[in-house]
Amino acid sequence: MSAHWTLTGRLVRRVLAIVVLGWSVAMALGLWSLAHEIDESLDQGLEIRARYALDLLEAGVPAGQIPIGEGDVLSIDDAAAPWPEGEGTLRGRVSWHVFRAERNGRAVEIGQSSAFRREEFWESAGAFIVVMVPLVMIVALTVVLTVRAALGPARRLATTIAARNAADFTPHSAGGLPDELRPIALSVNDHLARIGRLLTAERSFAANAAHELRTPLATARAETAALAAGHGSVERVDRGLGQLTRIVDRLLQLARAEASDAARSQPVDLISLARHVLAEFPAGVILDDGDASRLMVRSDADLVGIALRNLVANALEHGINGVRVRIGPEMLQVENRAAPGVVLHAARFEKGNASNGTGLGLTIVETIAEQLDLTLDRSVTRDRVRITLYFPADPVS
Amino acid sequence: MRILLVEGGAELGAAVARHLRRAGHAMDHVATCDEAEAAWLVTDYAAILLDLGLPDGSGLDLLRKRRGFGDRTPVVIGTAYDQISDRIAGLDAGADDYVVKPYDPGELEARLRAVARRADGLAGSEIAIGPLVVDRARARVHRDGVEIRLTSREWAVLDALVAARGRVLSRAVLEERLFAFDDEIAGNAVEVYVSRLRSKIGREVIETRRGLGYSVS
Repeated sequence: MSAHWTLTGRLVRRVLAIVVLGWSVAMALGLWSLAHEIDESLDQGLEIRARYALDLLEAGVPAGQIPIGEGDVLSIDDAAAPWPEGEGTLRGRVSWHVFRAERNGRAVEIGQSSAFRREEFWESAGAFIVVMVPLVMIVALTVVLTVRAALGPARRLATTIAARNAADFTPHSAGGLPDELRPIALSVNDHLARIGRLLTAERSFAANAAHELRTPLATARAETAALAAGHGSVERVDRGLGQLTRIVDRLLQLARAEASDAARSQPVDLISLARHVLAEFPAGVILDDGDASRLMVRSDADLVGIALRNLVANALEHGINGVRVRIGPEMLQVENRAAPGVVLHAARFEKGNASNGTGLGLTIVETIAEQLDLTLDRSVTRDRVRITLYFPADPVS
Repeated sequence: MRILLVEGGAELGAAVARHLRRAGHAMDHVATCDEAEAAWLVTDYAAILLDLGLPDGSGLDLLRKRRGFGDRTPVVIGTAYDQISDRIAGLDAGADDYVVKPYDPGELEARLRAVARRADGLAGSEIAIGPLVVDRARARVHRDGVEIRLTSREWAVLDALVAARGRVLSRAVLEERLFAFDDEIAGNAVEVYVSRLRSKIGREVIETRRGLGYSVS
């Protein structure tokens, strides 16, 4: 089991680690620079005071009255002043910073011990650190608050998703979400919509199946009962089974079309596909491949095959001879001459009493067109009915 | 002829076997891939009817395996898998025909006879013209065993010439075939398609009879 962790905690820890590390490096560099500057400044002070002491001596001021600075040790007229050794420190023995000034045979040396200078340095560094530490604390607090505020939308999105009812398929509002989170919300919405569609398809299939199957089943049972009673007809039973087979086929196709959220996107040769589909039908359907040897689209071959199968079956059912399948770039069209008496309502064939059709053909084609993002165009001109599927332009390698 | 029926469904298998026996065929009925392979290996069948969803595996794998060993026994796949991709996979695996359940026993027998005939020589719908085999029922052309892909207009011209084999077809007759695709065609359309056909199937197949038209013999 993975350990419990939060995005906020991880971000705060990492940002703070970076800030502290940066601050430490900056502090080390600052202290090093401070030590260097203190040394320089104190060295200049030694030089100034040594020359001033020499001036005073020449002016007759007694050695005891010559002013010296804090931590200074003055030595006059010693050729090689034996600078005293102090006690050892953590960093080793005490050393001296000495400036020697000579003029007209007189010499003055002023020195400062390294212990004095270290003391001076730590006094300055302490003041520096006292200022920096609260600043770092303020930065850390700002980091924590900023990270929490920045991750607020993610926290709110997670809370909204977690609080959602399992039967609620309404989409989340992606408005106001940052670009990094919007794809998550949109993806969740896609999945919700897909689940919703599948549930609707399931209900629709159950409704269609119940509606479409019960009548021919009842007919078949009546015919077999009549047959058992000695006055039925095998042909009528066979006809009923044939009709039942067609309906089951169409219902299966409809179920596949409606549940085809996992539709594949693959290169499909429309000409080859049409040849396979038309091989299932009696000869007489003309295939016009536009004189091309291949016409590729990116789609789902099985669903396009089901759509074409239904369009051709529809054309044969409702048309008279002259069913023609035309294939062009990103286009598949089935054209037929409408049989006399065929009625079209809202570009849909009206099912006649003598029809062998299931009445599901165009519904299946519409569903597939919707699932595959195809444009379905129905045109009726005089006695010709043309149903065309346009595929989205998508280069196929 | 002797037929191997590989059908996982006991009742359907028995019904189909009964029908084919009554039609005068010698039948072996098995229900699994293992039994099918064992029977296939020891008997020279005229045709095999192969179900795909078998209890111990896929009939498609068995077919691929046998074809991999160079076995050319005619096979008709009889299955409930009705998707185009299933059909293409079946034919690509080496099946000679593909029928979807529920099939008509009469049509099934006709298809078994057709694939068996094709294995013996030419099927009823096939015509040999020199190195060319033209299957009019399936609208397919093979040259030296390799399929030549024709467009629908090229096929229309070739099919007309093959149907009238030995007779000369005038340009006007061939134009009639092309009118099935377009209401208007170019004046030299027939010459264009004949030229394209010759480049695909070989120059010697279609003869030009000056002033009369074209023919294949």
